[in-house]
Amino acid sequence: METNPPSPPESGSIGDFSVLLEPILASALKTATFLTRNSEDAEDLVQEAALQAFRSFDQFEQGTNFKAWFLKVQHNCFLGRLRRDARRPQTVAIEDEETVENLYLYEQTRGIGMHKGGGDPAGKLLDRLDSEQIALALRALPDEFRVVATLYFVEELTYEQIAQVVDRPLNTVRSRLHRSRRLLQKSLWQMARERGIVSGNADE
Amino acid sequence: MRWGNTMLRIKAFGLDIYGCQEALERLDDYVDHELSPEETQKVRQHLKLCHHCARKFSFEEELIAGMKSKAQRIQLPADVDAFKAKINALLKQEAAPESDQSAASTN
Ligand SMILES: [Zn+2]
Repeated sequence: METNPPSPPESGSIGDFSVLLEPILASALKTATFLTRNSEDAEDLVQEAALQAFRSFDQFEQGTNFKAWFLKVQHNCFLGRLRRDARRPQTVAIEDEETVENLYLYEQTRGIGMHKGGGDPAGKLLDRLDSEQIALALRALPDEFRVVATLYFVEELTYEQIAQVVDRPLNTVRSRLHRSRRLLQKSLWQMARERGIVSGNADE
Repeated sequence: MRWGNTMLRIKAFGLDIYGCQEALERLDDYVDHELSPEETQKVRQHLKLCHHCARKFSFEEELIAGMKSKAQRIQLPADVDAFKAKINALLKQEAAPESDQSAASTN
């Protein structure tokens, strides 16, 4: 371990590469866990992406956002895996997503009287949900919605960065993201009710 | 025709403000700061005048911010340090493979 073998010249970049990769590995792994919905597959995916990114590191423009670049590589690896598994990214939502209204949780919380007496109904609802429920709701989203929602909620990327990562037009990303938020709202509400986190006669 | 002209005149006087529907159509983009400065301004103007929309917007802002911060706190099941070590070893191997092969090919 102490005596390093003489390295070929290109291994000089391993240092530069690792310095950039190390701080984003944990969140890349988190994102991969949502993409693959499985922690073993997630580790495999990040490994594949790390190798791929290292091999094409000369294509990374110094000074640009390394995390977004790496996530793009990782995303392509993920798509490759879907293809290998002969599974196309799902374009149709598991649920009747068209029927999910905007402001779904606003209306639901209002329906059971959580807005009475002023205060902060969103805060009251959030107090009763924990990270694990957010994770479950994210994981349940169909592929194309889960990808953008993960990049948004977990990686906190902007619309434009997400568009670059998934290599899709900004407006496609925008509408997927907005729809994924409605789906998330619906599934959070279902969880909240199933677990008795919120109670009340929402069924009017 | 006459209505069209009236609308134009109103716009010319800088009085064109969003109605509820125009404001609500921009809810998601507003929450994400993805609107143009002009649109943002117009939404803000509407929210000052319309308490119904103001309540909806602040609910949504609060909700999305809360979901984001909870998403940040999602725990990984994996041992991240062990994983980092694994990746490092992998990269080292990639950068310097069993050197006899590469030596043979360069010769
Ligand atoms: Zn309004």
